[in-house]
Formats: sequence, C-alpha cells, structure tokens
Amino acid sequence: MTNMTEIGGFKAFWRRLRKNRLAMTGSGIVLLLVLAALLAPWIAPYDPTEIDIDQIMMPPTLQHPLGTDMLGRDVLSRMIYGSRVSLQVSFIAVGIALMIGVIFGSLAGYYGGKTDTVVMRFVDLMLCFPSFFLILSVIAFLEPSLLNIMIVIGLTSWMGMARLVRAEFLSLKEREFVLAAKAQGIPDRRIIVRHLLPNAIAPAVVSAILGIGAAILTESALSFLGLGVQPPIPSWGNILTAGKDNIEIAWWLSLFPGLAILITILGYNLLGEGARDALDPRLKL
Amino acid sequence: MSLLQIKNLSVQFDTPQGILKAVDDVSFELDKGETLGLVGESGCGKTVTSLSILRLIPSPPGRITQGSILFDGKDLLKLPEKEMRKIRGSEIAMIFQEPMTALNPVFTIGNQIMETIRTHRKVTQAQARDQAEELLKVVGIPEPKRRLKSYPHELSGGMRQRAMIAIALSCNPKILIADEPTTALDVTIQAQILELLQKLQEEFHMSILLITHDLGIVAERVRDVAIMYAGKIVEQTSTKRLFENPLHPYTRGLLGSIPQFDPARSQKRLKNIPGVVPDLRMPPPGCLFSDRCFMKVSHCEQEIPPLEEKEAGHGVRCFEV
Amino acid sequence: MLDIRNLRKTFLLRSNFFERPSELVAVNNVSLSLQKGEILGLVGESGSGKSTLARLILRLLEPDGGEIDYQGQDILKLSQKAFRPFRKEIQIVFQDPYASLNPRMTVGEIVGEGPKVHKMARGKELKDRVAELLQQVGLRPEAAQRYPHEFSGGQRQRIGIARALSVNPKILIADEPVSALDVSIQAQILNLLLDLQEKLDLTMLFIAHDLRVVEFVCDRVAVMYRGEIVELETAEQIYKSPQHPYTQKLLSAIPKLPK
Repeated sequence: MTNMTEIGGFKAFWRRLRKNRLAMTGSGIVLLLVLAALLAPWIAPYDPTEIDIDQIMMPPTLQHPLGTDMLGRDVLSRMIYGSRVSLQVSFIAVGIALMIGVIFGSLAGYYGGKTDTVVMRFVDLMLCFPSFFLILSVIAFLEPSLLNIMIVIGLTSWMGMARLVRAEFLSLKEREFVLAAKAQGIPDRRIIVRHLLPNAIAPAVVSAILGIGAAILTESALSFLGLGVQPPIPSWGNILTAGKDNIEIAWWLSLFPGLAILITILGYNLLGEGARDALDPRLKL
Repeated sequence: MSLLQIKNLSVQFDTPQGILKAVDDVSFELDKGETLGLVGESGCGKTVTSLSILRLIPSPPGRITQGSILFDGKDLLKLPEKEMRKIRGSEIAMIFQEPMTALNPVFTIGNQIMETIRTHRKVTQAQARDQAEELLKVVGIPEPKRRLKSYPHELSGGMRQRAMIAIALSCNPKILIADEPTTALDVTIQAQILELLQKLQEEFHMSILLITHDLGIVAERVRDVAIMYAGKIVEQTSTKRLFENPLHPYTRGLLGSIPQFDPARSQKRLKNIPGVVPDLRMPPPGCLFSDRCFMKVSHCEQEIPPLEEKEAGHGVRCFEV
Repeated sequence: MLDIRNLRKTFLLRSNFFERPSELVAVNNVSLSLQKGEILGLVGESGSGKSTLARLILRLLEPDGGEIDYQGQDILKLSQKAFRPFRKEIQIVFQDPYASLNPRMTVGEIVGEGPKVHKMARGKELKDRVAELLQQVGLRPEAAQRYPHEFSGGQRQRIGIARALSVNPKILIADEPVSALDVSIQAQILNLLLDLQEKLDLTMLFIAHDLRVVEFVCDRVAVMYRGEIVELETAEQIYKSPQHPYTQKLLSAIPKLPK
C-alpha cells in the first residue's frame, strides 16, 4: 500500500525537501512575498494611494524604480501593498477550501455508504460548473468586496481536496491501528481527528499550496475585470487593468504586475510540487 | 568439484546513517545436484548474498567490496554485463517469496514463460508455446493449455509459485536460487511446493540454493546448511550434524525458539534469544551476537571470532565452543 | 465466559459493476465457547475465516446471524453505543506490528488513549499507568515519548500488547500475533503472552496458521476450514489423534525438526 505519510517523519520530509533546489527556490519566492506583505508599510517607498500630479506616468527612474501610474502613484509601492491583497485573499480562500474539503472528505471516507454517495455526488455537481464563471456570476450579484471574493473562491475550490482526503481515509480506515482504536471504543470523532486526519492530511496540504497559486491568479483576474478589489486599494490585478489601457505609452504598468503574478504562482507551484515529491519519493517518476 | 563457489564475499550499502555491511566475508560452495540451505532471520544478509550471485544488487547504494563468485570456473563478478545477462535466467535462475510481485500482472503466464524461453534460445513461437505447456505440466499445474492464457491474478498463491518455478526452469538452469519460496504460502501448499522442488531437482539435475528462515524446512530436505547472523556465517556444516550437535549459541537459540509439541507439557516456555539484532550501520566491536549470547565472555565484546572448523566439516564462529 | 452460537457472515463480492455479486460465506454457523482462563487456539489457513471471526466478536464487522453471549447478555443485540463499555472487556492484538500502530502518535499516546477515553486514569496517574504497562510488556518507560517507527517489529508488537492490556480486558484475542516476526522474536512474544495470560488471568483466543505455535500455546484447539470449525479438541488430542482429514493434512504438512 502506498501510504504517503509512512516514509519517515517530518524530519525526513524536510531533508528531502531541502535537497530539492527547485522547491527551495519556490519557498524563497514565497518567503520574499510574505515578508513584502508583512513589512509593506516599512519597505514601500511611498504611500500607495498618494497622488502626485507632477509625476504622472513616469517611466522607471531612481526615484520611482518601477515608474508611476496615470495618477502619479508609485508602482513599486502599489505592488508591495498589492501583495498584501494577494496573500490575504489566497490564504483565506484556500483556508476555507481546505476546511470544507477536509470535513466533507473525512465524513465521506469514514462513514462511506450513503454519506459518501451524497457528498461525492455533490462534489461531482460542483465540478460540473466552470468555476471561474461561477465566481463571476456570484460576484456580479454580490458586492465585489475583498471578503466576498475570498469566500467565493474558497467555496468553489474545495472539491479536489475533499477527494484527496476521502481517498486517504478509504485506505487508512481498514488499517489495523484504526481497527484497534475502534475495538477500544474510541469515539468516531476522536478516531477521525486523532488517528485518520494526521495520516491523511498531507496530500491535501500539498494541494492547498498549489491552490494558493491558483487563488492568486483568480483574484488578479477578478480585479483585472473590475470585479475584484476596488480602487483605490491597490491589487496586482487592478494595476494591470490600468496598464492595459495605457500599454502603448506605459509598458511598465503591465509588465511589473504581470511578472509579479507569474513569479508568485511559479513559486507556489515549485514549492507545492517539491512538497509532494518529498512526501513520497516513490511517486516521483 | 563444486559448481558454485563463493569466496569471502562482502557487500556494503551506503545509507544516510552510514555504511551498512550487509554481507561480510561469506564463503560457501554448492555442489552439482545438491541443495544448500542458507538460513537466517530478516536482515541477516541471506537475500543480499543470493542477489549478489546474479549481480542484481542495486548500485548505488550497494557495492560488492570483496570476494569472488566462481561459477563453472568463471568469476561472475568479473564478467561483462552482456555475458552476465546470458547466465541470468538460463544458467542460474531465481524464484522469490512473493510470486505476485515477481510476475508481471499484465501478461499471461504463457507469455511470460515463452518470453524467457525465446530470450535465451532460438525457437519459433509455436515451439516456445509447446515447451511452455510442457513446463506447466512438469510443475504440476492442471490443464496447462488453458492456464497458459491465465493472468497471474487468476491463479492461487500456490499455483503462482508453480508458474514462477516453470519460468525459472524454462532454460534448464544449472542452479536454482529459491529465496523463501514458501514463506507467503499456507502450510499445506508449502509442503507441496517443497516436494515439487525436490522432484524437479532430481529430474533436472539442478543445484538448489534454498534461502529460508525456517530450520524445519531445511531439516527435511537439505544436505548442507549455513546459518547467517548479521551478515556473517556463524555455523556451516551438514544438516545432519547441525541438528545432532548444534554448536553456535545462535543456532541453539533458534532451535529452542521453535515450538515443539510435547504432550507432557514439561516445557512451559520457549527457550528464546533475548534482545534484538544489532544495528549493522553501527556494529559493536567484537562478536555481533555477543549482546544476546548466554555464553559470552569478556573478550567476545572486543574481538570478532573467526569461522573455525571445530570438528571436521563443521565450521563455527565462536570463541567459546 | 464467551459463548458464540451459529455465527454467520457472508460477504458480497462484485468483480465489476455489471456482474451479479457472488456470495462468499466467510464464517458459516460457527459455535464456540471460551472458558474462563483458558487459551483457545483457532487454527486455519488463509481465507478460512478466522480473522473474520475475530472481527465479528469485536463487532468491527456486523454478522448476518447468530449470537454472542457475554456475561449473560447477547452483545450482538446491543447498539454500538450500549456496546461501548463492553469494548474494554475484549481486546485484540493484531498481526502486523507495522500497520497496527498509528505512526503519528507517540507510544505513550497509543497506550494511554484507551484508559484516557474510558476515564480510567488521567494526568499523572495516566502517565504512571502507561509506564507500568510498558514495563509489563518488557519495554522501558522512556519508550512512551518515542514514535512507533523507532522500534523493531518485536518491540512494536509489545507496544500493541500493552495497548490491548491498557483497558484491563478480560478476554484477549491474539490474531496471528507472531506470524510477521522472526523466529527468535516469535519465541519472545509467545513467552510474553503466556506470562501475561497467567499473571492477569486472561482468557485468550489465539489465532494462527501455524499449528506448531498453536499447539504449544493453547489448551484447546479449534480447526477452521472454509468458514467452519471442523474439529475442536484439546491440543493433545489434536496432536495425537486428529480426526478430521483436514487436521491430519495440516499436521502432516508441518516441517518437523529431528529429535
């Protein structure tokens, strides 16, 4: 049986992850981004919303390393603050997805039978909708606020995690240590939380890391379309929108946020894939 | 003259925690048409020894660091890989503990036997098929013609092991290495397979290297036996003598560990060997068995005892015998 | 002590969705009674239904029919909730020492979980109880802080035994407790089980495929074949004059050591 969690403990996992150069590059990028977001007020050279009509659409200079936008705001500062939005949205959205996925996956996998059928058919149903359009239409009804975006992204991206958790549960629940717990009269809830989840969570966490990248992309796309974070709050997506309108005269407005999105998603994917390989080296072909 | 002669074989593995001496200075001979039992518990190096004979040790992390394996006068360790490939399967064949993992699940039994035959011999498809059918008959599989078309999962454990043996026999090997061939099987099936091996040995004039953890299996069907512990041979003699006069404390402990029915129930507990096998990545100095030994004296922990003939044809690795 | 009557369990096998499922009778009308303080052996080959029987007794599987009387009550009639207090009374040691311990819990948590959940001990008292249990099975109390993967197969089996004993069971089911272990370790664990049975006055159902082991350990032996018990006798009788042809076959297949 291929059980992901049995090959050494966390230490072995860390040792394998550290050996993987791509994964370490990925985690470096992620770390940088998190630091930028946390330290935004200290490292951003300007106030991201400060308008300076003398400096409209300036190309990159020493004063404004990434140039300024059509209101003369510093693009670097706006991007640093924008990373806060990206991070916040993606973490909370994925957090919501992970929670729902784990709960549904656990119940379906542990109880099986009708519970399983109902939950998994619901998953199938959710997967039938193209999720981006689902998000678009929901946001169109609701007010496009940060909170709404997080919730909607979360509610539409938990299905894969539910499937992963369920699959792990199905193989784990027949294992003798689970039978032993049942034989001792350990209540179901405790068996799920103490015996099954710690052994089943790893693949879902990997999926969540990869999901963060996807959530950042979704948020940027929504903001780009004007349905996400509303100006004047800076977000990579709405900087990009401004860039789109002025692409012939101000290339820096499109290039830098685009690059930021690309590199960030790359970082999360490298880290996620590295973590997956490190969890079970046998899966790596 | 002996058909297979292993001299001072040592095999090491590189592990993150250090070098592991899996096989250390092992020597034995296998005569033509004879059976040698290589007995020991898990991790004693018996399987690594057998894989070394076929040069199937994964490298890295494994390394054969010294010794020679003479087969028909040739040193297998010095042979080019191409020559070695000719020997594998045709001159020396091997069967494993779990036939389900040794057989390819997506091909029929017939396909797999025919493939082996055609790899080593120039025959037509039809000839190969006839030979395969004949082989299945030889190993006692009923309805061989139909079984040729079966997939491994359609057979029972015992039948799978028979099919495995048929594949091994397909090129008339001179030596059959049987690595725990019956451990995964039920007792009644085990008896049948062992009988079959014995019958085939006589029919095909094969030499068999029987690797097992069960002294009971060895007692009934093997002429000579070598007991391994922690990578080293600790006792080496004829089976008859081993049971009449076991000398090494480990052998004696093993024998005592096997439950024997005694109607009088005079013996309430088994004579066991206390403790566990030492970590071979950090072997203690001296005799590797010393920390579990009831005969230990002080210098056992400082010096490694040599394998010495304590009587004619009876080698023992112990100071105190 | 424990009376099993006409226990039945059938599994439905379905090799693919379109086929009609076929029935596999795993346990067929098995009746068996465990006397207080005895070790009853249950021997049979793979697929004979012996492990299924163990799981039915523990109600890890629900039977299709039959009764299991324990202390004058048919425990099969109890709801899972009403059965919970009874779970302490019957415990099991599994075959595979690698699959039977949760890799994410420390040994102390594994052994202490039962007493904690059943509110038999807590805090310092629980810690002492765990230490005592570990010592009882021949491990050092410091083992409590470590994880299962740090132990060898034999030591893990000891941990499994300590867990089973942690809730003070009256009946211990040992399901192939030594067949995954090396011969020399097998003997250690068998001796330990015999010692504990004596000391704690346990009633034991000892399941194995190896007649040598069963005969050595058990007072009486039940031979199971294709879901049915074909012979039930004292170990001595089984050894000296096996009646059922299957028992005879089993006995003659055992590799024997020269005297």
